[in-house]
Amino acid sequence: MPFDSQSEITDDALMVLFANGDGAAASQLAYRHTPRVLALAFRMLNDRAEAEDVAQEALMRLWKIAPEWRQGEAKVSTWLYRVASNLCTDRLRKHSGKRRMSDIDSVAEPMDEAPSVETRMIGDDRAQALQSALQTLPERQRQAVSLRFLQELSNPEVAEVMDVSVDAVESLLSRGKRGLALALADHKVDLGLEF
Amino acid sequence: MSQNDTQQNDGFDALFAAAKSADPVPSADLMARILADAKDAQTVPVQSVPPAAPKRFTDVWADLLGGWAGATALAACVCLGVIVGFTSPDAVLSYVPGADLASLDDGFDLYLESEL
Repeated sequence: MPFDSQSEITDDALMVLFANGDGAAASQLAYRHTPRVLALAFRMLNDRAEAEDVAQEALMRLWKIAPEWRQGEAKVSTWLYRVASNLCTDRLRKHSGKRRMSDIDSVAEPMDEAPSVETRMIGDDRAQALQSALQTLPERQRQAVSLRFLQELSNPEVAEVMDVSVDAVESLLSRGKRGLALALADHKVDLGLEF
Repeated sequence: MSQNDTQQNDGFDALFAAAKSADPVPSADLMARILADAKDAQTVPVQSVPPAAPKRFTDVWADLLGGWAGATALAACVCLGVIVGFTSPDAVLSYVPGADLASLDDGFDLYLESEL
């Protein structure tokens, strides 16, 4: 089954089916939402293993709440983003004493990275550069930028996930983009970007 | 929007597009763990029923009489009957054909004489 399952069944209906013991509903929900939750967690944590743990925990909470799920009150995707964001925040705070990434150059590069930019695809370079630059942003700005521009939520949806006003989201996004531009300033020529 | 802003947005659009195309794909192991969690969550735990405590003698009688409410009503009726019987026996004996208080006294006297 593809990860981006195009099933016509709504998330709310799948939650009801799951609560009634339908195993296929669990599978559809998992394949539909895990990639998005994993991507958000990876943006936030910059650690694949930890991101997977967060994704698993977020889905676990979804399974547990299924019997009490109220249809039409919240979107499953928004609910999952919120849970995953909170789990990421908890982990970041737990690790804040151990690991601080305040500079783009302190972010670990891939082990197999070649020194020459020309040897890699430019898309990979840009993705890696953005991921590194994201880590230089304050946690809330990183969260807002990830949700808005990478998970493609609307500003009101980001506000709901982050439990802040839409104005606050706009402010976080504005500052976040400025921070990204600053972090990437030295690399924009290599990446072929114009800021 | 200035030309500088437009350039910046174009640059970010390219960055975000590249990042989205490089999103991590869930591993088969992760999906297996998630689905195993779902299966566990769907399994309704069977709760063991504690053995029933032995019933007390009073509870057995109360059950026979329709519970504690029935037993209480019966006791109240008995008390009321005794009270009425002592306070106005004539009223009670009027419902017994051929019986009056004097004949009861005579019977009681005969009983005492036979005992003595």
